[in-house]
Amino acid sequence: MAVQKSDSGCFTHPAFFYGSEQEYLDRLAPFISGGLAAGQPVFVAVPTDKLALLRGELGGGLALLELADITEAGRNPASMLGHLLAFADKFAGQPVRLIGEPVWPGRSPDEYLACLQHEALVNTAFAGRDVTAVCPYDVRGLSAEVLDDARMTHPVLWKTGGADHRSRTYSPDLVWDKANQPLTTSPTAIVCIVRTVQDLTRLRAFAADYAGWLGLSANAKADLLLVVNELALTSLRRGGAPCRLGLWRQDGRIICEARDRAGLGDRLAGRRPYLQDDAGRGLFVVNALTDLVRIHTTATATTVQAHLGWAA
Amino acid sequence: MLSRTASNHFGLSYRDPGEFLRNAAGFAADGLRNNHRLAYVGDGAAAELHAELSTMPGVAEHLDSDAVQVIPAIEFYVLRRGEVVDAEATLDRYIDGVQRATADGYAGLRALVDVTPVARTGKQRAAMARLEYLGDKETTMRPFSALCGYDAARLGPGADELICLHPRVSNSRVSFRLYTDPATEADLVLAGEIDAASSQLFAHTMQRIWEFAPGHTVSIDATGLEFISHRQLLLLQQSAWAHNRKAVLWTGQPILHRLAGLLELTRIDVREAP
Repeated sequence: MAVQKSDSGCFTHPAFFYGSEQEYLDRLAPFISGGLAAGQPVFVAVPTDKLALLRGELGGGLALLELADITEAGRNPASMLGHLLAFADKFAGQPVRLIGEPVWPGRSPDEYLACLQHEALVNTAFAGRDVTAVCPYDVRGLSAEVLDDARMTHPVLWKTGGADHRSRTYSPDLVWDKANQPLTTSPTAIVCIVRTVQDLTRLRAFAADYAGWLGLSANAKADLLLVVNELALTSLRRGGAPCRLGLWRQDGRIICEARDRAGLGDRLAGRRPYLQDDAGRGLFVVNALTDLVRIHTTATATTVQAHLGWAA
Repeated sequence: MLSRTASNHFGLSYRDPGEFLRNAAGFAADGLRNNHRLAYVGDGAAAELHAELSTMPGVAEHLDSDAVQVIPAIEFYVLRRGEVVDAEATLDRYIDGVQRATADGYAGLRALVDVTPVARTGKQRAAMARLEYLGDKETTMRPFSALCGYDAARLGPGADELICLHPRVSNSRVSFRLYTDPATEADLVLAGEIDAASSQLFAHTMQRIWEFAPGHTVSIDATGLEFISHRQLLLLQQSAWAHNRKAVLWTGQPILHRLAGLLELTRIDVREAP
C-alpha cells in the first residue's frame, strides 16, 4: 500500500528501518537537505555516532538545521517530545522536518518502555500539524519485538530498497497500554506521606536527610529536592492525595516514586513545552531534570518513578 | 527564643500578649545589658505597657531610669488621616531616637514594637511594608535593633505579609524573607524557601516591593534562597512583567540556572553570585 497521506491531517510519522550507515545516509541526508532546500526547518536528534555521520555528510553553516545528541537531549524519553514540539513551534505555520531516534541498541528495558510511550504519543502531539517526523530504527541491533512495536506506533514505514507503505498494525493506543505497566516499589524504600501543600516543607526536609545519608553533592541534592517537591505537588494538584513519596537506590540511581489516588488523565502532561502545559509543568520539570521517568496510570491511581543519576 | 544573629531586625508572630512578652524579654534584657536604650512601643496606655515590662527579668530594674522608654503605639507612629503609618516620618522618629540615645551615652537604641495596632487593614499593612523596607535600608548601619511583634490571632494571614519583610523571623510559619540589606550590593535580599504553600504570599509581597525598589532592573541577592520551585520563578517573572521591571537573581545554586533556562525567562536574569 503506497503512502498518499498521513492519518493525522498533514502530520507524517514514518519509522525508518535501516541496516547500515550507508542506508542511513542515503535516506536521511536527502531528507534533511531536501527540506532545507525547500526552506523547511529541520531538527535532528540522533545518537552520537549517527550525528557525526550526518554532520560529515551535511557540512556546517546551515541556518535552518538544528542538531542534537539524543543520548543527552533525549536521555529521558519523556523529555523528547518537549524538544520536538518546541522546535516545531518556533516555525509554526510552515512545514517542519524532524528526525528523532529515541530507540537505539543498548537502551535498558525500563528506558525502552518509556520510549514506547513517547512514540505512541507523538501521533497525538503533532496531529494536524504540517510536520514530518522520521524515527530511524537500527535493525542490526534491535529485536524483532522492538521493530514490531515500531510498526504499531508509526502509521508509515520507510524501508530501504522498497516503497514506503502504511503500517498494517498501526495501533498506538495498544502500545501505550503495553507500556503502561504496574511499577514495583522497592522494599528498601523510605517513605513520606504528603497530604497538603503544607507538607511540602517536611517532604523536602525528608529528602534532604536522605541526600545527606547518601553524601550527595549540593547540586544533586538540589535536584532531588526539586523533583520530590514537583512529584508530590503534581499528585496533589490532580486530586491524588495522599501522595506516598518513596526514595530508594537502584543500579546507581536514586528512584523517587510518587503513588497517589488519581488517574493521570492527560497522557501528554509534562511532555509539551513548559508554557503550553499548565497542569503538566511539574512533570515537565521532573522530565528535564531526570534520566528516566516511568509512569503507570489507571482511572483511579497513578505511580510515577523518576530516576536520578547519583552524583556524590 | 530568638536567635542571636548578626541581623538586628526581627519579626515575631504571637497569638496572645503573654507570648509576645515572653519572647521579647530576652531581646529586651540583652539590649539593656549591652547598654542600649530600650524603647517599648505597644498597644495600650503607658501605665499598662510599664506594667508589662515590670514582669521582665533584666528589664524591671531599669524601669525608673531613662534607659527604658515606654510609648503607646498611637503616640509613637506618625499617622496619615489618623490611620495609616507615614513611613518616612516614622522612620525619622526611629533615627532621631537612635541619635538621642547615643547622645545620652547609650551604645544604641533597641526597639520592642507591637505593630498590630497599625497593621489591621490592607492599607495599613501596605504602609507598614514601606516602613519595614525603609527601616532595613536606613537603620541597618546604625546602632539600632528592633523586634516587631504581630498578633497572628488578630491579623490572621495579614501578619505574614509583614513578618516576611524581616531579615529574621521567629515563631512564624513564614518560610521566606524579603528585605533590604545595605551591606550587600543588591537592592533586595530573598532568603528561605518558597513553594506552593507560600506562593500567594510571595506574589502579594512582590507586588508591594516593586513599588519600593528603585530602578528598572532590581538586583536580588538570592544566595540565602534555599528553595524555589519553577512556579514561583515564573510568578516572579510575571510579577516583574506586570510592573514593567526586570530582576537579576544572584545565586550560588546551579539548579536556578537550569530552571531559568527551562522556563525561558525573559524578565529574570539568573547570575552566579560572586
